[in-house]
Amino acid sequence: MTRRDRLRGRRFSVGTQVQAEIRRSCRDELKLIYEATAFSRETWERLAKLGQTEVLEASKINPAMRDLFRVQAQGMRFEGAVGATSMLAFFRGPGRLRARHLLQRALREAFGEG
Amino acid sequence: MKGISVALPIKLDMSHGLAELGGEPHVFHCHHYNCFLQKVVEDQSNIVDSRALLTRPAVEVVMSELQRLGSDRAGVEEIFRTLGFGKLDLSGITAKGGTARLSSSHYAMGWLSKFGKSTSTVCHFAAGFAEAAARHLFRTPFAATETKCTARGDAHCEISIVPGGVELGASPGMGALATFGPRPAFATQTSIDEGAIIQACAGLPLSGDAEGLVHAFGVSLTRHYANYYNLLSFRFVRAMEKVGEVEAMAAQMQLVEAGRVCAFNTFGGIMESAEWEGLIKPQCKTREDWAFGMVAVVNALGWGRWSIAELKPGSRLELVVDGSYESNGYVSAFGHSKHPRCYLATGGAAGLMNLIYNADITQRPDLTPEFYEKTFQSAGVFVSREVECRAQGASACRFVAERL
Repeated sequence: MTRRDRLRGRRFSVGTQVQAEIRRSCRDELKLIYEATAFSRETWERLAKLGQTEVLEASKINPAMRDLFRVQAQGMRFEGAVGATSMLAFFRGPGRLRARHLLQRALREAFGEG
Repeated sequence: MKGISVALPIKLDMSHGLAELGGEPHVFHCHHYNCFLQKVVEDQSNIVDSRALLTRPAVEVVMSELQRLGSDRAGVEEIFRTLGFGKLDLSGITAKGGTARLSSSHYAMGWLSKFGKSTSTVCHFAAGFAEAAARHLFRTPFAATETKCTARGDAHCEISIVPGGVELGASPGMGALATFGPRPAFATQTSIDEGAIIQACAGLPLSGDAEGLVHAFGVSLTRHYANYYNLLSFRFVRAMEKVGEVEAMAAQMQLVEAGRVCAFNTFGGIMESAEWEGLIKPQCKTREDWAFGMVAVVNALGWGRWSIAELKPGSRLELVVDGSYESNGYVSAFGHSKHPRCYLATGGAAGLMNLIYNADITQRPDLTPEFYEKTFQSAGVFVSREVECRAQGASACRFVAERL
């Protein structure tokens, strides 16, 4: 059993408004679910500055659907929907520790705790 | 977001629920299904020629596609990468043979993730693909064998290509296509907008990254060859039938189990994904809407047209599948069958009900192997059967999932 397997299910706080949980991933990477009351568009636009961003404007197809963000940067990719209560992040390869630090700092700032 | 259709001329044929490239139907499947299906066949290698069963269908279907597309070497490598099989370098192959090299491999990565280190090579599909590429590029028969594999601990995967090799069968191509009847009335009794979900899914970036891998829905996806699964599964059952009745039954049960594994991991991964959070969950008003939502996503995967004909909350699902890729392939390649042949969809129906009513996927559990065991060995587990199949002459395939 790897260290990552042993950590599966562990939860920790990112500031006071975001909770993270370590999940099982299908490859050699760290998978985290970040949960908050809502990841607003403003939050996503701030997080999008961390890397290369793709947006699927699903709300234009059906207003009941939410726009999807996927951000790729050195050592990580993260994705989620505007207004959803969770965001998935995957950390892998060189720079993954720094990437997690940057993302969590950006999350704290986005939730007004910078 | 940019979709796969931009990179390859994949045509979506919604009237048959299929995606087509070079005359071959393509379907999305994840590493859980791909590797489990392979292991089912490999586990019987003492009584069947598992390596040939796993490799030859790849040669047949890929060869057929490449010939239709007229791809050059770079084009062949791009197809392999874009479909999510990994990164293949064919530069070491000439008319005299040579070595193909994989710097990343879907099957090796998937095997390591699912089963740990292997004692043998595992990239049988890739070997078949490389053999087909050599046959296509040099217009002469070759035979391929994987000699190095990262799943075994090697630094990279290598496939040896030598002149010679067996004569190939013909691919079933698009198969025996069905004419779809009207959908069951119950199929639309939901708040889920299936058309919008299919349209949105078509816009997702589901093509291979720089390593030739597609990471989406929490799994590693491939846009695989439907006829690879068909020829592999149906020939495996035939080979096991030659051994004995019990062996044939065991083979069919294992293929259905592969469908359950697929549903648990792929459907489960989808229902825990960012895409589900954005596209489907906001439309779900009831737990049953999760089933309708999943069926809408399935209808974007190239698996035919799935419809829920009846859903009794917590107790019974009746599913109708028009033009399942399994029945298309079976009827075309093998003709009429005395038995139902849609193993994947049978397992999928049970898997869907277990995810919703036993695993409570709405609470986003961690989809671990231990949780799979717990879910499928619990009291009241859902089991499914195919009660009508096109391979037996029915107009559509029908499945019932009920608690044991």
